[in-house]
Amino acid sequence: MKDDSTLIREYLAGNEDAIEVLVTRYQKMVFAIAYRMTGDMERAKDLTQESLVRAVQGLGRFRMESSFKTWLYRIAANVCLNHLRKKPAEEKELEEGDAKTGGALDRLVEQERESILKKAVRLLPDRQRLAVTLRAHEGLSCSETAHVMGCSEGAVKAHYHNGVKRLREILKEHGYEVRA
Amino acid sequence: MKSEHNRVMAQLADYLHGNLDETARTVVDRHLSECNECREELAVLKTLQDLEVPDPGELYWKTLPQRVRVTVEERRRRPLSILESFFRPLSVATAALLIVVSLLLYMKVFRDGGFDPLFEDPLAAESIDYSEIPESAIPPIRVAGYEPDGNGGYSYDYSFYEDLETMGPEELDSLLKTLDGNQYYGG
Repeated sequence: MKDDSTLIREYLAGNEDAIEVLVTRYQKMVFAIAYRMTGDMERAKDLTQESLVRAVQGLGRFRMESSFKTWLYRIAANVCLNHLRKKPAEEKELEEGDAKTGGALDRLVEQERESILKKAVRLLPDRQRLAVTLRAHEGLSCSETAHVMGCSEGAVKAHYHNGVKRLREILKEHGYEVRA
Repeated sequence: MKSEHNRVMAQLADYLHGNLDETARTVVDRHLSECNECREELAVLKTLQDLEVPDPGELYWKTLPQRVRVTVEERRRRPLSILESFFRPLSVATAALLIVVSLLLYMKVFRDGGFDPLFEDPLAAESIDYSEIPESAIPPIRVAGYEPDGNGGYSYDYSFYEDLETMGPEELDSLLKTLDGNQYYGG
Protein backbone atom coordinates (compact mmCIF):
# COMPACT_ATOMS: atom_id res chain seq x y z
CA MET A 1 0.00 0.00 0.00
CA LYS A 2 1.42 3.38 -1.01
CA ASP A 3 1.89 5.91 1.76
CA ASP A 4 0.28 9.36 1.71
CA SER A 5 3.34 11.28 0.55
CA THR A 6 3.87 8.91 -2.40
CA LEU A 7 0.25 9.34 -3.47
CA ILE A 8 0.52 13.12 -3.16
CA ARG A 9 3.68 13.22 -5.29
CA GLU A 10 2.05 11.01 -7.90
CA TYR A 11 -1.00 13.25 -8.04
CA LEU A 12 1.10 16.38 -8.36
CA ALA A 13 3.05 14.67 -11.14
CA GLY A 14 -0.19 14.19 -13.07
CA ASN A 15 -1.58 10.85 -11.89
CA GLU A 16 -5.20 11.82 -11.16
CA ASP A 17 -6.07 8.31 -9.94
CA ALA A 18 -3.78 8.75 -6.93
CA ILE A 19 -6.16 11.25 -5.40
CA GLU A 20 -9.04 8.79 -5.38
CA VAL A 21 -6.95 6.39 -3.30
CA LEU A 22 -6.10 9.19 -0.87
CA VAL A 23 -9.72 10.35 -0.60
CA THR A 24 -10.96 6.79 -0.04
CA ARG A 25 -8.43 6.41 2.78
CA TYR A 26 -9.60 9.48 4.73
CA GLN A 27 -13.21 10.12 3.73
CA LYS A 28 -14.70 8.37 6.79
CA MET A 29 -12.45 10.27 9.18
CA VAL A 30 -13.49 13.59 7.65
CA PHE A 31 -17.16 12.62 7.66
CA ALA A 32 -16.97 11.72 11.37
CA ILE A 33 -15.61 15.17 12.24
CA ALA A 34 -18.18 16.91 10.06
CA TYR A 35 -21.01 14.91 11.56
CA ARG A 36 -19.86 15.48 15.13
CA MET A 37 -19.51 19.17 14.48
CA THR A 38 -22.91 19.61 12.81
CA GLY A 39 -25.01 16.70 14.07
CA ASP A 40 -26.65 16.63 10.67
CA MET A 41 -26.12 13.88 8.11
CA GLU A 42 -26.76 15.93 4.97
CA ARG A 43 -24.63 18.85 6.06
CA ALA A 44 -21.89 16.47 7.13
CA LYS A 45 -21.92 14.89 3.66
CA ASP A 46 -21.57 18.29 1.98
CA LEU A 47 -18.86 19.45 4.37
CA THR A 48 -16.94 16.21 3.88
CA GLN A 49 -16.88 16.71 0.13
CA GLU A 50 -15.95 20.38 0.47
CA SER A 51 -13.11 19.57 2.90
CA LEU A 52 -11.68 16.92 0.60
CA VAL A 53 -11.98 19.15 -2.47
CA ARG A 54 -10.15 21.96 -0.71
CA ALA A 55 -7.47 19.57 0.48
CA VAL A 56 -6.88 18.31 -3.07
CA GLN A 57 -6.85 21.86 -4.44
CA GLY A 58 -4.27 22.84 -1.84
CA LEU A 59 -1.97 19.83 -2.26
CA GLY A 60 0.52 21.95 -4.18
CA ARG A 61 1.00 24.05 -1.05
CA PHE A 62 1.29 21.08 1.32
CA ARG A 63 4.93 21.00 2.36
CA MET A 64 4.78 17.67 4.21
CA GLU A 65 6.05 19.26 7.42
CA SER A 66 3.15 17.66 9.27
CA SER A 67 1.37 14.42 8.39
CA PHE A 68 -1.25 14.61 5.66
CA LYS A 69 -3.78 13.34 8.20
CA THR A 70 -3.17 16.27 10.58
CA TRP A 71 -3.24 18.69 7.67
CA LEU A 72 -6.55 17.24 6.51
CA TYR A 73 -7.94 17.46 10.04
CA ARG A 74 -7.08 21.14 9.99
CA ILE A 75 -8.84 21.77 6.69
CA ALA A 76 -11.92 19.84 7.80
CA ALA A 77 -11.98 21.73 11.10
CA ASN A 78 -11.78 25.08 9.31
CA VAL A 79 -14.46 24.16 6.78
CA CYS A 80 -16.78 23.07 9.60
CA LEU A 81 -16.09 26.13 11.74
CA ASN A 82 -16.67 28.45 8.78
CA HIS A 83 -19.90 26.67 7.98
CA LEU A 84 -21.07 26.92 11.59
CA ARG A 85 -20.27 30.62 11.69
CA LYS A 86 -22.49 31.23 8.67
CA LYS A 87 -25.45 29.03 9.54
CA PRO A 88 -28.38 30.49 11.47
CA ALA A 89 -28.43 29.84 15.21
CA GLU A 90 -29.99 26.56 16.11
CA GLU A 91 -32.12 25.69 19.05
CA LYS A 92 -30.34 26.68 22.23
CA GLU A 93 -32.27 24.49 24.61
CA LEU A 94 -32.67 20.78 24.78
CA GLU A 95 -36.20 19.67 24.10
CA GLU A 96 -38.17 18.70 27.15
CA GLY A 97 -38.72 15.22 25.83
CA ASP A 98 -35.00 14.60 25.87
CA ALA A 99 -34.84 14.94 29.61
CA LYS A 100 -37.29 12.21 30.38
CA THR A 101 -36.06 9.42 32.56
CA GLY A 102 -37.64 6.29 33.81
CA GLY A 103 -36.80 3.81 31.03
CA ALA A 104 -37.18 0.41 32.57
CA LEU A 105 -34.31 -1.18 30.75
CA ASP A 106 -30.75 -0.07 31.21
CA ARG A 107 -30.18 -0.05 27.48
CA LEU A 108 -33.03 2.37 26.94
CA VAL A 109 -31.65 4.64 29.64
CA GLU A 110 -28.26 4.42 28.06
CA GLN A 111 -29.68 5.27 24.64
CA GLU A 112 -31.49 8.25 26.06
CA ARG A 113 -28.34 9.35 27.83
CA GLU A 114 -26.42 9.14 24.60
CA SER A 115 -29.11 11.12 22.85
CA ILE A 116 -28.89 13.85 25.47
CA LEU A 117 -25.13 13.87 25.20
CA LYS A 118 -25.26 14.10 21.41
CA LYS A 119 -27.48 17.14 21.60
CA ALA A 120 -25.43 18.61 24.42
CA VAL A 121 -22.33 18.35 22.24
CA ARG A 122 -24.09 20.35 19.56
CA LEU A 123 -24.89 23.07 22.07
CA LEU A 124 -21.24 23.61 22.94
CA PRO A 125 -19.53 26.67 21.45
CA ASP A 126 -17.91 25.73 18.12
CA ARG A 127 -14.30 25.72 19.27
CA GLN A 128 -15.09 23.80 22.44
CA ARG A 129 -16.94 21.23 20.36
CA LEU A 130 -14.01 20.97 17.97
CA ALA A 131 -11.53 20.49 20.82
CA VAL A 132 -13.70 17.79 22.39
CA THR A 133 -14.23 16.09 19.02
CA LEU A 134 -10.56 16.02 18.16
CA ARG A 135 -9.37 14.97 21.62
CA ALA A 136 -12.11 12.60 22.75
CA HIS A 137 -13.33 11.15 19.47
CA GLU A 138 -10.34 11.30 17.21
CA GLY A 139 -7.74 10.69 19.92
CA LEU A 140 -5.47 13.53 18.83
CA SER A 141 -2.87 14.68 21.33
CA CYS A 142 -3.01 18.14 22.81
CA SER A 143 -0.25 19.43 20.50
CA GLU A 144 -1.85 17.84 17.42
CA THR A 145 -5.18 19.42 18.34
CA ALA A 146 -3.47 22.78 18.79
CA HIS A 147 -1.90 22.40 15.34
CA VAL A 148 -5.25 21.51 13.77
CA MET A 149 -7.10 24.33 15.51
CA GLY A 150 -4.33 26.84 14.87
CA CYS A 151 -4.04 27.88 18.52
CA SER A 152 -1.83 27.24 21.54
CA GLU A 153 -1.89 24.06 23.60
CA GLY A 154 -3.09 26.14 26.53
CA ALA A 155 -6.08 27.31 24.53
CA VAL A 156 -6.85 23.72 23.50
CA LYS A 157 -6.73 22.59 27.14
CA ALA A 158 -9.09 25.38 28.13
CA HIS A 159 -11.55 24.68 25.28
CA TYR A 160 -11.47 20.95 25.92
CA HIS A 161 -11.76 21.19 29.69
CA ASN A 162 -14.63 23.69 29.56
CA GLY A 163 -16.39 21.59 26.93
CA VAL A 164 -16.23 18.35 28.89
CA LYS A 165 -17.19 20.15 32.09
CA ARG A 166 -20.24 21.59 30.37
CA LEU A 167 -21.24 18.16 29.07
CA ARG A 168 -21.04 16.72 32.57
CA GLU A 169 -23.20 19.55 33.88
CA ILE A 170 -25.80 19.02 31.17
CA LEU A 171 -26.00 15.31 31.92
CA LYS A 172 -26.44 16.04 35.60
CA GLU A 173 -29.06 18.70 34.92
CA HIS A 174 -31.07 16.09 33.06
CA GLY A 175 -30.88 13.59 35.84
CA TYR A 176 -28.18 11.34 34.49
CA GLU A 177 -25.62 10.34 37.00
CA VAL A 178 -22.19 10.16 35.47
CA ARG A 179 -20.58 6.97 36.56
CA ALA A 180 -17.22 5.52 35.79
CA MET B 1 -1.99 16.63 44.63
CA LYS B 2 -3.84 19.33 42.70
CA SER B 3 -1.12 19.40 40.04
CA GLU B 4 -1.42 15.62 39.60
CA HIS B 5 -5.18 15.99 39.31
CA ASN B 6 -4.82 18.60 36.56
CA ARG B 7 -2.20 16.57 34.76
CA VAL B 8 -4.29 13.39 34.87
CA MET B 9 -7.39 15.23 33.73
CA ALA B 10 -5.49 16.55 30.74
CA GLN B 11 -4.31 13.02 29.94
CA LEU B 12 -7.67 11.26 30.12
CA ALA B 13 -8.34 11.43 26.38
CA ASP B 14 -4.92 9.95 25.69
CA TYR B 15 -5.56 7.33 28.39
CA LEU B 16 -8.83 6.39 26.72
CA HIS B 17 -7.16 5.98 23.32
CA GLY B 18 -4.23 4.00 24.75
CA ASN B 19 -1.72 6.71 23.88
CA LEU B 20 0.05 6.72 27.26
CA ASP B 21 3.14 4.75 28.21
CA GLU B 22 3.06 2.24 31.05
CA THR B 23 4.30 4.63 33.73
CA ALA B 24 1.83 7.39 32.90
CA ARG B 25 -0.95 4.83 32.67
CA THR B 26 -0.20 3.53 36.17
CA VAL B 27 -0.31 7.07 37.55
CA VAL B 28 -3.69 7.69 35.90
CA ASP B 29 -5.08 4.35 37.15
CA ARG B 30 -4.03 5.17 40.70
CA HIS B 31 -5.46 8.68 40.52
CA LEU B 32 -8.75 7.43 39.09
CA SER B 33 -9.20 5.10 42.07
CA GLU B 34 -9.10 8.15 44.33
CA CYS B 35 -10.69 10.96 42.29
CA ASN B 36 -14.40 11.04 41.62
CA GLU B 37 -14.17 14.08 39.35
CA CYS B 38 -11.70 12.38 37.00
CA ARG B 39 -13.80 9.21 36.95
CA GLU B 40 -16.82 11.27 35.95
CA GLU B 41 -14.86 12.98 33.20
CA LEU B 42 -13.57 9.65 31.92
CA ALA B 43 -17.13 8.35 31.86
CA VAL B 44 -18.22 11.30 29.73
CA LEU B 45 -15.33 10.73 27.38
CA LYS B 46 -16.20 7.04 27.07
CA THR B 47 -19.79 7.90 26.25
CA LEU B 48 -18.61 10.47 23.72
CA GLN B 49 -16.33 7.91 22.15
CA ASP B 50 -19.17 5.43 21.91
CA LEU B 51 -21.51 7.88 20.23
CA GLU B 52 -22.06 6.44 16.83
CA VAL B 53 -21.68 8.33 13.62
CA PRO B 54 -24.41 7.29 11.19
CA ASP B 55 -23.32 5.68 7.95
CA PRO B 56 -24.39 7.65 4.87
CA GLY B 57 -24.35 4.45 2.87
CA GLU B 58 -22.10 2.52 0.53
CA LEU B 59 -23.15 4.55 -2.50
CA TYR B 60 -21.93 7.76 -0.85
CA TRP B 61 -18.55 6.28 0.00
CA LYS B 62 -18.09 4.73 -3.43
CA THR B 63 -18.95 7.86 -5.38
CA LEU B 64 -17.27 10.44 -3.14
CA PRO B 65 -13.70 10.07 -4.49
CA GLN B 66 -14.95 10.51 -8.06
CA ARG B 67 -17.08 13.51 -7.08
CA VAL B 68 -14.13 15.13 -5.35
CA ARG B 69 -11.99 14.61 -8.44
CA VAL B 70 -14.64 16.04 -10.78
CA THR B 71 -15.29 19.05 -8.52
CA VAL B 72 -11.58 19.84 -8.33
CA GLU B 73 -11.39 19.65 -12.13
CA GLU B 74 -14.45 21.91 -12.55
CA ARG B 75 -13.06 24.52 -10.19
CA ARG B 76 -9.74 24.45 -11.99
CA ARG B 77 -11.49 25.29 -15.28
CA ARG B 78 -13.80 27.91 -13.79
CA PRO B 79 -12.71 31.47 -14.69
CA LEU B 80 -11.51 33.42 -11.71
CA SER B 81 -13.74 36.08 -10.23
CA ILE B 82 -12.48 39.66 -10.15
CA LEU B 83 -11.65 39.35 -6.47
CA GLU B 84 -9.80 36.05 -6.96
CA SER B 85 -7.92 37.45 -9.95
CA PHE B 86 -6.86 40.48 -7.98
CA PHE B 87 -5.45 38.39 -5.17
CA ARG B 88 -3.45 36.06 -7.39
CA PRO B 89 0.27 36.35 -6.57
CA LEU B 90 1.16 38.01 -9.88
CA SER B 91 -1.61 40.57 -9.54
CA VAL B 92 -0.55 41.34 -6.01
CA ALA B 93 3.01 41.95 -7.21
CA THR B 94 1.76 44.16 -10.04
CA ALA B 95 -0.47 46.12 -7.70
CA ALA B 96 2.42 46.57 -5.26
CA LEU B 97 4.66 47.82 -8.06
CA LEU B 98 1.98 50.29 -9.21
CA ILE B 99 1.55 51.59 -5.70
CA VAL B 100 5.31 52.12 -5.29
CA VAL B 101 5.61 53.90 -8.66
CA SER B 102 2.58 56.09 -7.88
CA LEU B 103 4.05 56.97 -4.51
CA LEU B 104 7.39 57.94 -6.04
CA LEU B 105 5.67 60.10 -8.68
CA TYR B 106 3.57 61.75 -6.04
CA MET B 107 6.60 62.54 -3.90
CA LYS B 108 8.52 63.88 -6.91
CA VAL B 109 5.74 66.07 -8.30
CA PHE B 110 4.07 67.38 -5.18
CA ARG B 111 6.81 67.36 -2.57
CA ASP B 112 10.08 68.04 -4.44
CA GLY B 113 8.63 70.70 -6.76
CA GLY B 114 8.48 68.66 -9.93
CA PHE B 115 11.05 67.04 -12.16
CA ASP B 116 14.49 68.30 -13.21
CA PRO B 117 13.98 70.74 -16.19
CA LEU B 118 16.30 68.54 -18.25
CA PHE B 119 13.78 65.68 -17.79
CA GLU B 120 10.88 67.81 -19.05
CA ASP B 121 12.66 69.59 -22.01
CA PRO B 122 16.31 68.65 -22.58
CA LEU B 123 16.72 71.35 -25.28
CA ALA B 124 15.28 74.27 -23.31
CA ALA B 125 17.71 77.23 -23.26
CA GLU B 126 17.58 77.54 -19.48
CA SER B 127 18.45 73.90 -19.12
CA ILE B 128 21.81 74.25 -20.83
CA ASP B 129 24.92 75.54 -19.10
CA TYR B 130 26.83 77.95 -21.40
CA SER B 131 29.30 79.17 -18.81
CA GLU B 132 32.19 77.10 -20.16
CA ILE B 133 31.74 78.27 -23.76
CA PRO B 134 33.97 81.36 -24.59
CA GLU B 135 32.21 84.39 -26.06
CA SER B 136 34.35 84.20 -29.22
CA ALA B 137 33.19 80.68 -29.95
CA ILE B 138 29.55 81.79 -30.20
CA PRO B 139 28.76 82.80 -33.82
CA PRO B 140 26.72 85.97 -34.31
CA ILE B 141 23.05 85.43 -35.08
CA ARG B 142 22.16 86.41 -38.62
CA VAL B 143 18.79 88.01 -39.34
CA ALA B 144 17.76 89.07 -42.84
CA GLY B 145 18.13 92.84 -43.23
CA TYR B 146 20.14 93.19 -40.02
CA GLU B 147 23.92 93.27 -39.79
CA PRO B 148 26.13 93.07 -36.64
CA ASP B 149 27.40 96.58 -35.85
CA GLY B 150 30.57 95.27 -34.04
CA ASN B 151 29.38 96.55 -30.65
CA GLY B 152 27.17 93.56 -29.82
CA GLY B 153 24.15 95.22 -31.56
CA TYR B 154 22.63 95.19 -35.05
CA SER B 155 22.10 97.83 -37.71
CA TYR B 156 19.33 97.69 -40.31
CA ASP B 157 20.06 97.93 -43.99
CA TYR B 158 17.71 100.69 -45.33
CA SER B 159 19.01 100.53 -48.95
CA PHE B 160 15.90 98.54 -49.90
CA TYR B 161 13.66 101.54 -49.12
CA GLU B 162 15.98 103.87 -50.97
CA ASP B 163 15.62 101.65 -54.07
CA LEU B 164 11.83 101.91 -53.79
CA GLU B 165 12.04 105.71 -53.63
CA THR B 166 13.83 105.86 -56.97
CA MET B 167 11.30 103.62 -58.74
CA GLY B 168 8.66 105.18 -61.03
CA PRO B 169 4.89 104.34 -60.92
CA GLU B 170 5.11 101.77 -63.75
CA GLU B 171 8.00 100.01 -62.08
CA LEU B 172 6.13 99.94 -58.77
CA ASP B 173 2.98 98.56 -60.50
CA SER B 174 5.08 95.95 -62.20
CA LEU B 175 6.74 94.99 -58.88
CA LEU B 176 3.35 94.80 -57.15
CA LYS B 177 1.94 92.53 -59.89
CA THR B 178 4.99 90.29 -59.63
CA LEU B 179 4.61 90.03 -55.85
CA ASP B 180 0.84 89.38 -56.22
CA GLY B 181 1.54 86.79 -58.88
CA ASN B 182 3.87 85.01 -56.48
CA GLN B 183 1.29 85.50 -53.70
CA TYR B 184 3.65 87.62 -51.57
CA TYR B 185 1.56 89.78 -49.30
CA GLY B 186 2.84 92.04 -46.61
CA GLY B 187 1.97 95.03 -44.45
